[in-house]
Amino acid sequence: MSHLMGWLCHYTPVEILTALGYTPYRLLGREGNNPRATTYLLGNLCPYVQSCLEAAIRQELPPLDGVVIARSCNAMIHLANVWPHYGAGGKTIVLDVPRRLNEDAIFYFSQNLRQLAVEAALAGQQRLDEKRLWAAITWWEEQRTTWRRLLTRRAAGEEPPAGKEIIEGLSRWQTSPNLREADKLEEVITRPAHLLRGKAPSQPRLLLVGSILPWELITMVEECGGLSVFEDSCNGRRLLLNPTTTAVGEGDPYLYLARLYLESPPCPRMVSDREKRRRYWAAIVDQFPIQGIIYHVMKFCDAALYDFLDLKVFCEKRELPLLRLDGDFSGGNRGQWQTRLEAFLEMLEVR
Amino acid sequence: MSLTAGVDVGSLTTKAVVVRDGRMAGAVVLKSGVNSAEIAEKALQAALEQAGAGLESLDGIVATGYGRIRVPFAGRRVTEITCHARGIYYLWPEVRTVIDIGGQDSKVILLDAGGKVRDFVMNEKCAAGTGRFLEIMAGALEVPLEEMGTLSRQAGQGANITSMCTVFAESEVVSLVAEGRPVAEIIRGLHNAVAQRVVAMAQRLGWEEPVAMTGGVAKNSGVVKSLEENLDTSIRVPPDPQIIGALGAALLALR
Repeated sequence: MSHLMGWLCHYTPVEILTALGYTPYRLLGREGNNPRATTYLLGNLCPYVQSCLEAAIRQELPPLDGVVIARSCNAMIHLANVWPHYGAGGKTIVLDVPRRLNEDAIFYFSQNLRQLAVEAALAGQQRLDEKRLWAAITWWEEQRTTWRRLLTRRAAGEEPPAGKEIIEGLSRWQTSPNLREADKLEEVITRPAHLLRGKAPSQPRLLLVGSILPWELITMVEECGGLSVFEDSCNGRRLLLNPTTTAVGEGDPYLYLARLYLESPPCPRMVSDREKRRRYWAAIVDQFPIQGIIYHVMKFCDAALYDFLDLKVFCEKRELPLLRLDGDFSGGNRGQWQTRLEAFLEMLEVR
Repeated sequence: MSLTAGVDVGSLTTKAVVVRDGRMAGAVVLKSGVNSAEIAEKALQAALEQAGAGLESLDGIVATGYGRIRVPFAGRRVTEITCHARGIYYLWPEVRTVIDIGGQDSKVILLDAGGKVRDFVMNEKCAAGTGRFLEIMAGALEVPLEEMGTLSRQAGQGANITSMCTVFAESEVVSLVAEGRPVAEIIRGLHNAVAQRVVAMAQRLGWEEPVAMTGGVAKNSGVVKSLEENLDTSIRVPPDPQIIGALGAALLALR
């Protein structure tokens, strides 16, 4: 049985966990209410974070050796405080993630990653060998390349696999306990590629934005007649990181990883990196002929709310229709979203 | 000759409109029930009777509203946002903002010069600022819903209702009654509370003049007055604001 190490935030370098002999296992939350988690966390805290704690309390997670909680937002900090007492057991490792991007931040983050490697080491394990870490980096990069190649097909005017199929595939990729087995990998990454259908349909091409996107939303968008061609979220395309200009295998692997994660498309929490986020949206809109944008605002997520205001200005300048949907990750938002989604798609169709 | 129908199944009422050659030939409003399909059919039959026509002579039926998916005989389903926009464009093509307050939701719709929806915003998952909110308050005050508008216009000032949550607002109303505050002032305060909620949505959207109001709550002159005061503009209200969604649906069935 593999040693599973849980993680939540996409700023967690899974390469280090792999190099240490763990299988990284992403906590993706659960649908439904979180009555047990709200005993320990305030009700007005991120529903995704709450649902991860709820899953742990209800013993719905596989046995974990521990969990890495990135201090990426306020809700994660609260989770890191309560997890050792009420979580799934094992180690609780806290990883501080800088909020800005400059050379000092990259150096600081690389030092935190070095510390992560020490804290996460299995009992009796020696210091992590750099060769081993480079091998893990290469392995993850190969997989991300495969994903990126597949998802770029969505820009090519062909009918891509549905957003639901992509997000299901990405979720399996982040939670498969046997990911290193070649046949499993084949099944997880290449399965959506077989679903390419040929000519693109005439459905409105949409960009879905949010911190973490609920499956329910992507499914509904496509049931209502839209085509989700890009998911700017930490469980969507943002997860695949952009390759850095530094060559793999050269220099300090921790510095490499720090640069890889911090220089990738920024999450809404990177408040000092707004311009980069605007450039990212502009590139997506142009490359993936986007006709409309849907922003899912996770209840109580301040970072997402500020990000939405920025996106609103961006959309006004580009004359792109924008729909904001609020959700709580509970799986019970269908009724509220249906009319808004259908009306938005009707609006796009008559343009 | 063309004959089309629109059926708007709302949470409180079901409306049907029949349009002959682009002109309204019949319109009916019934109370919604648990069986949406049955009520929708009854409303349509009644509207067809008014128009002196039969079901077989219809060229198209569009269903809209909250219960649109439960109208089995509709040829097409269109959201109430598009339908209200179309209905108002038919009446007043120059209108640029539509405020629609129905039984369970409120919305603000921006139109372009061609009557197409430019943008829209709807209330959150909450009864505040909807017809249902006023219905519950009317119950708490033991006042018939239809009289709320007239009563509120008699008040010199409105009571301050601080809570927008329906449950808390109800207990605030009960406290104001216990304090001996005149009912008319409480109602005016409630209308202001609804108006402020909707105006915040309109401002978020960047509303433009002229403004029209549709939906059942537009029949309440007190809410219309509060909205006019808060927006500092006059609001056009159609003779029967409740049927505008169904009218828009019938017009869209012409396509």
